[in-house]
Amino acid sequence: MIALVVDGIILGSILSLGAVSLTLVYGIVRFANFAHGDLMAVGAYVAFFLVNTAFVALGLPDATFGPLSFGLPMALALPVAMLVTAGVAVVVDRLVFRPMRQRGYAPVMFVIGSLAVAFAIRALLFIIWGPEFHFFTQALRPALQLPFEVRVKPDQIFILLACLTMVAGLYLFLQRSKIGKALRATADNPDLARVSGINTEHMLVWTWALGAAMAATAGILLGIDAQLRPEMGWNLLLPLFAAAILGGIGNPYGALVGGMIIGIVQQVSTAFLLPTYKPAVAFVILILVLLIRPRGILGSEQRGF
Amino acid sequence: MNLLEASGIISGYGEIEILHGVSLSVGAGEVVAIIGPNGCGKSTLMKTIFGLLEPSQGTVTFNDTDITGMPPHDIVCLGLSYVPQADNTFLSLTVEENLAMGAFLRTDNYAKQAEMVYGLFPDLKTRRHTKVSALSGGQRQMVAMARALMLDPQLLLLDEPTAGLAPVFVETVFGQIEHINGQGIAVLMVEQNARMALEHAQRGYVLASGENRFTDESKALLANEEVARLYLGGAA
Repeated sequence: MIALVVDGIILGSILSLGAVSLTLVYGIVRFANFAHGDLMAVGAYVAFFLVNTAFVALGLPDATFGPLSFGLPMALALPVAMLVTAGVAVVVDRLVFRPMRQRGYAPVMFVIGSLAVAFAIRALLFIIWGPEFHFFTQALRPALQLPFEVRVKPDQIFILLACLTMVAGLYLFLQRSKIGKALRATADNPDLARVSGINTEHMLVWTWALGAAMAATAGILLGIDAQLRPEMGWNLLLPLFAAAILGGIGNPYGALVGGMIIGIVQQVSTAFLLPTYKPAVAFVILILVLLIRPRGILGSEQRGF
Repeated sequence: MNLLEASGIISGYGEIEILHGVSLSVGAGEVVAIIGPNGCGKSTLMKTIFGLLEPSQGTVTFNDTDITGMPPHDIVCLGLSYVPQADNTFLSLTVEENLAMGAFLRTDNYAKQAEMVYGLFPDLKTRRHTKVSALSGGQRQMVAMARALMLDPQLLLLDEPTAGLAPVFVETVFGQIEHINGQGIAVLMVEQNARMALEHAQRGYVLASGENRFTDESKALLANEEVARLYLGGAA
């Protein structure tokens, strides 16, 4: 049981990172981005290409870091994949969502648009890398034996720390930096932000870039923990939305809590249910939240975070 | 030379024309009030001046620069700030962060300007780390004006600064507008509280049905029988 909770925390940390970035984007662009999971997959596949093809061709040493399953190539691939995914999101915004903004489309049209983007990205991943599973490495790493029959892979400890660091970094960025405060101001009151001299189109670029870079990291960490599949991000969309709504949609700090809860409940549920029901568990939580407390744990009536 | 000059403004929302050729000017250091019945286009005029609405005809110049149709984030750089009527603060941000957003376009250290602004609104200084959502309506209005002063504007546009405030705060706000003007900042305000607005302004414009109706010194408008009867709710 404790082992399942620990597994849940690892899964939860990845979900948190995904949900935090999903809800950050929602808070500012004001629509549910259904392509968010697929941006995670883009990040994972870009890292996969770099680690297993590009860096191999460059002859980069592939010695791993201590007990972890990856080394220098992954350390370099992570920031590059974040940048590339950020670039993809910014270009998608420019090509798809900005023209829709300029024509004053209704919010629901943006959601449908993001669904189209999600399909397009996934189709591209299928075309380039095929439907089969990919692994960053075939090497097996011994798990650490902890008390209470808990087995944790060193990679998983890294995943947890990486997620917490990213979310803490985002928190500091939003609270302390000038751009971060301007992002919060834009989420709170976009009209007043414009009146104050904040170019809200620039803020949207920042939002997409930040959200996509975090999504890419979540995707890579998921790839390290499990494997890469073109539909890896799409399959996470439901738990991600459940986590974001549980925490209070538009509130990144709530999404952190929501992600952890969904992750732990999903893993613990496997003690009683078949693992194939895991997505259903997220769905049940989502329905319960919407019935009992639609604005989520940390959500409030007012906008902004 | 006038600081702000709007001439022949025809503007509105989409197909609906609200202003049918309104003109006005504000001189440096002046306080000017725009009064008139509900729906006469006062707010529309403010939004058009500040670039939130594009006029179909007419021009707006500020310091001899044509700002017609310029986006607000460019206009604000020129020394013209705007306080909207509603939703004029960032509720989830602290007082200090609201001021920081007002100073967003400043590349220098804005601490000195913040001190000047806190000097005008001492109440805000003690609550600088409080979220605006925890403040009273009167304090929020102070935050709204404080934010707009952070770029050290030459002209402040105030859209209904006393709307929805308790009567005790109405006096306070007009007092603060006088203080702001005392710093050499010109003020153009739209007000429902027509009589009080004129008492605190040097000149006034009466708009009716999207057109200029009366333009005069405030004293003359307050003494004008017709203005008093139609727009000030009583005899002069």
